Amino acid sequence: MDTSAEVLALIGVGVLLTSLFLQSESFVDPLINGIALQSLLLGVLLGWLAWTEHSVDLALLAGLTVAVRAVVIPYVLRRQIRAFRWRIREVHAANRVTGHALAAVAAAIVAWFVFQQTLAPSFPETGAALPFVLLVQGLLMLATRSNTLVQVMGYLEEENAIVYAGALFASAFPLFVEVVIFLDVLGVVLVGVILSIQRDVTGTPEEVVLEELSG
Amino acid sequence: MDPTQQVVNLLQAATVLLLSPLLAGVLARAKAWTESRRGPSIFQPYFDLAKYLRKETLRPQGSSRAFVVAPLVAFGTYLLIAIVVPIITPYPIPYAPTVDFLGGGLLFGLAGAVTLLAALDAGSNYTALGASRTVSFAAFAEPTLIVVFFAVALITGTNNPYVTNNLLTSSTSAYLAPTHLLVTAAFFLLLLAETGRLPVESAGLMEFGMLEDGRQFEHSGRLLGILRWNGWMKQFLLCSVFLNVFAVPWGMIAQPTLLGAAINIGVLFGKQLGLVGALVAIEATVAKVRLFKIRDYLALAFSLAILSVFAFAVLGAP
Amino acid sequence: MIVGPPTATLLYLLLLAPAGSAVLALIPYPGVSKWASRTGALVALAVALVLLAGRADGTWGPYLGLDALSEVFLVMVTGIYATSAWYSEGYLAGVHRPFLTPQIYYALLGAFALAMVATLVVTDLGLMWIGIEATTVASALLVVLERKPTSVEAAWRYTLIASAGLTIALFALLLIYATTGTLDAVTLATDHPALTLPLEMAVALALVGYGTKAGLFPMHTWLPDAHSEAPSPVSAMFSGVLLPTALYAFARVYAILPRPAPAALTDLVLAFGLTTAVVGAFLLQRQRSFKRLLAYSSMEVMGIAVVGIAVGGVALYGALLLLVAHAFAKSASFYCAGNVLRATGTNRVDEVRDLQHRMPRTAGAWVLASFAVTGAPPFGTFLGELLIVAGAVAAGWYWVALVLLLAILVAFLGVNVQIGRMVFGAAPDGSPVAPGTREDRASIAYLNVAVSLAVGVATIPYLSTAIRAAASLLGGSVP
Repeated sequence: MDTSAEVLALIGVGVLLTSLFLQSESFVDPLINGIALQSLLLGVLLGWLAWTEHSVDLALLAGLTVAVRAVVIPYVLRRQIRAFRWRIREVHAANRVTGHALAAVAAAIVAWFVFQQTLAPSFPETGAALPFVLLVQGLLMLATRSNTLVQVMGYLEEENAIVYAGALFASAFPLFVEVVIFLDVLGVVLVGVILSIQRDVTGTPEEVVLEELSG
Repeated sequence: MDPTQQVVNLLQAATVLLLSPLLAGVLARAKAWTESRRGPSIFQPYFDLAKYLRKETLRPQGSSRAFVVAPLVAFGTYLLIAIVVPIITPYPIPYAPTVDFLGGGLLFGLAGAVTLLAALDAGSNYTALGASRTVSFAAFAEPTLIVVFFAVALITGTNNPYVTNNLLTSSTSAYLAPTHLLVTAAFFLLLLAETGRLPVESAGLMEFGMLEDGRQFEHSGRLLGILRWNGWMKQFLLCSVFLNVFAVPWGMIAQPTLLGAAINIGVLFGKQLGLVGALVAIEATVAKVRLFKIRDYLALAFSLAILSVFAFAVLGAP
Repeated sequence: MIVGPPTATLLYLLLLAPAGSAVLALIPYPGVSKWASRTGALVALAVALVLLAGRADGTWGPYLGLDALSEVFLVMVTGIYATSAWYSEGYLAGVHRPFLTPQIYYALLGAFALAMVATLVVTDLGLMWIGIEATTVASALLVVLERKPTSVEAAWRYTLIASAGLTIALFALLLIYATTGTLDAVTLATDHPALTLPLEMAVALALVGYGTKAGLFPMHTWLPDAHSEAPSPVSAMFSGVLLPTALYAFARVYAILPRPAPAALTDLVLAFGLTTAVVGAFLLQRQRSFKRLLAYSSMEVMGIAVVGIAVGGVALYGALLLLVAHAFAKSASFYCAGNVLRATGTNRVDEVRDLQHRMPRTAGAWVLASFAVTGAPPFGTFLGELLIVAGAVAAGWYWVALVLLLAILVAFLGVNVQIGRMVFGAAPDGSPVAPGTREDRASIAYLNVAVSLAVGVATIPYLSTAIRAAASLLGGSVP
């Protein structure tokens, strides 16, 4: 393995580990740190790629990833936590750590298997399966968690997967930077507007099933 | 066969047998030091052992021969492990080909199983509780151990711990490969669980926290001494394997001479002292998890082990 | 025929009209936002009709382009946008929500329409994706502005599920770009890149991604919530045009595949369509809220349309007809539902009775509209569904035809029985609707139903030919 592949591999595994951590953690504060760390790792990866490929786009993307998803959105989320003390922990997730961790591992393996069966021959890059795996992890998190803030993190993880994939095997993807900016804006709007309205309007645990929305 | 190597083999067994209480003593002393206590002498385990061996042995009513035989079988098993895994030599010693990694794991399993039999045979509620706890967590720990072996086998292509040691000392990229780092982490978590350290188990007189010790309530005298010794040997062996095959494979003298082997004992003990530092630091910083959370802890170790195999599959060979 | 530069100008006007109306709507002077929105919508509709009449196919610059398919969809989108903009006044007057000021409402409505129009006039798959994602932002804000706990929760589910799905669609686009090196829909659809596993995977992922936004089972869970909690005119746009626009984006990706499409993918699309149709048809049976009932009915129709895409041939033509007719009929249904909701203050089927005497105009429109959405002859939806079933039979997929017929029948009964109970059922004492209740703009509902009818029975100048052209463009055949 050459140095470049090794860097990609190490960061990729780091990202994978953070995703495992995100799946199995039930407190929101460490989760925010986890997603910030994951974004930071991706930022480092993008920076590395930008440096080796002399790409301004990727450098911009690296800066954007670190600034928005490792700093701004975690900051907004932390402020949200201060407003919603009851959201600090997801109790039912806390009792299912084993299940969540094993589900994460199983999902990773399935995702990898699918990737291996369909895409692998066309994407020989080191760790090319990881963005796909990360995408599935984000989806899994969205599906298994009921805490709003944790779901935001699942969404951020998906976004990270997209950035990762774009950086790894479609680095010349047109409009990629724009798309990511757009996603970031969407993320901020999501977190900012809806959550703040939610704070004003409900103020109760969203675990309470809203009877009107059933069926 | 080369007589020197036979002697080295015996030397290794003797090292495990005689130094394992010392490791336990150093650990206890260092832990006491972090708690601002003076702590017992580092030779305290030897004194304990001498005391146990002088005492008479009692057998509970209704127990069978298994109660007596099992600790001895376990003792023999650990001694057997002591002559087949890399402890004081980086090259295979004469009996090493007897078992590979998986065989070593099976021997550990055998020792654990017979100890369990002894605990059940005692017929006491407390030992049975200890046994059932141990088994329920072993159900999570052992798959992890197996996967760790898979990962090691993947890295080197063989199941031979000596080959792993050689590969890691010769290639930095193999050492830094994600697979190896993850598998080392998983094995370390397992080591903490298997040797009864925090956050899994708190040694002491609190029976709520004990897993291993809970199985020994009914044994006394020599048998208890043997069981304690078994525990120390297991800890010594696991630490040695962790250090030599996973974490710190360097530093052993490859000359197949008696002197080299003797120096390697010192090297090993130096490494063990470093590990003791790490273990004590962990004990001083983490709290014991609730009994039912141990499962989560082991699930994490298992996930790491699986991920190490996964990383190998995704990222390719180092 | 209008060709060349004037068309490009028209195209910019088409984008500018909703954008301008959205900006102007923000002026805090009574009546300005309403008229800005109405004017913008009408201008957009007029431009869309001119473009349709001129069949101004072609591309302008690297990103803009039109063909028969986008022209048909543009008429749909701007048509529903215009009727919703006209209908909104009464709805806004009836609800009192401190944050749902006309300024913000009309501005977001314009932004919502702009996002859909932009999706339809671009040729770049990436920009198309951005357009679809932008609809999420605008429409989620429209839902959340109702500021009830339920609407906030609905908006939240909607945003999260739709964005998560669209991330998958974006991943699909990354794969397409990585394998083909371009995202230009025109190039891709004419050149048909070599069929590789990654490309097939990309289409499958795009189906899941855009299918989420189109309400396909099992990613449909946001759909009934958002529909029932959005303001009624917005629900009309959701059902009538947003879901079809998501399908449009998928159809553009699907068009990349060489004809005939690989069997595995056809089967996958078929499976998604059929399960959606059946699940939607059965879920609507047990709905207690009439807006949720209509939402599940839309889900069922989207499922049938997806089956049409999968079957191809004449069924593809049927799917387009179905979507056009359904858009107008379903929006009419939602306008009626909005009137009833405003008059009664409830969205429960059980609490609404005897509309035939209390809100006669709305009741009449609603009965017609619900027949139209469930595919009763002679509405356009009937023709569309008939063609899809016929296409399935022609392709030899008898069981597909059978399952489709079952879903159509079940949905027909489910919707019409419930609407019938509300319209003709005897009113218990103390029913919340008093006779002679004000009915806002039931005429718009009648107008939309008439369009839906016309699509079925008559050859509408330009539109019918454009639908045929669009069907052949996608590889379908026209009877």
